Amino acid sequence: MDVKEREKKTPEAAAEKENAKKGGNSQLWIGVLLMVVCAACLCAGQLIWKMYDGLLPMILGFIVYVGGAGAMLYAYHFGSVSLLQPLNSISYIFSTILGAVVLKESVTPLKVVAVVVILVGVYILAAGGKKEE
Amino acid sequence: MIGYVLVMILMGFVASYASICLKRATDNRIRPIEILQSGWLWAGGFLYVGASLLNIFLLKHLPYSVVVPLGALTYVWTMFLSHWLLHERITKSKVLGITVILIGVVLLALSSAS
Repeated sequence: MDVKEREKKTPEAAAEKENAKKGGNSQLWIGVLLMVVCAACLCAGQLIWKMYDGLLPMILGFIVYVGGAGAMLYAYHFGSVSLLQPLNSISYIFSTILGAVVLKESVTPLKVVAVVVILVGVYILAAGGKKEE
Repeated sequence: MIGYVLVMILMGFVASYASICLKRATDNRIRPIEILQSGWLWAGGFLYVGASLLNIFLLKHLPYSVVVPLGALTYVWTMFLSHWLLHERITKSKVLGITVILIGVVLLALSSAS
């Protein structure tokens, strides 16, 4: 079977249609949750790298980072990639909060607005996906 | 300058195609062994590392406040690529959500630039 033909018959395209008929993707929230875990792991991994030097923190950061990638991989099982991948932007929110709390970086009004705007975008995606997928 | 623009476009495309591969890897597989045996996982992982290297290259040569928002353009790439390759639907909420996220990321980049 040639690649094009196989792509037309991806099981998840069929599943999406099936879901649309039922009026929603009931498993989507698992994917959303896993993407939040992924974003948290990516930030935590980077924070460990930034805060501590040496071999052990490097390995620990790497393990956390890979764990995050694994969560993302599993997230894709539960929903469309075009919806779930942008949820990775939650990592911008986490890193801003971690930067402020742990690294004592300054919190400007613009930063707060930016974080809220990203949150709104994430909400639109997740809530809309639940209805439309 | 035009070289950097091309690298940026390439980075977005590679990162986005990486997630398409990773999506295929977990399409109808849930057991770790099966996922690890999928060629899509390794293709996706390889492309992901490639995109990260391009990202690091760009961060070395261009300001952070330019590279980060452009990195977020990957979501737009993914919307079109997944529609084309995986037949995922482009819905109103996806377009709106991604647009709002992009605005937020630009604001965040501006706030760290100032």
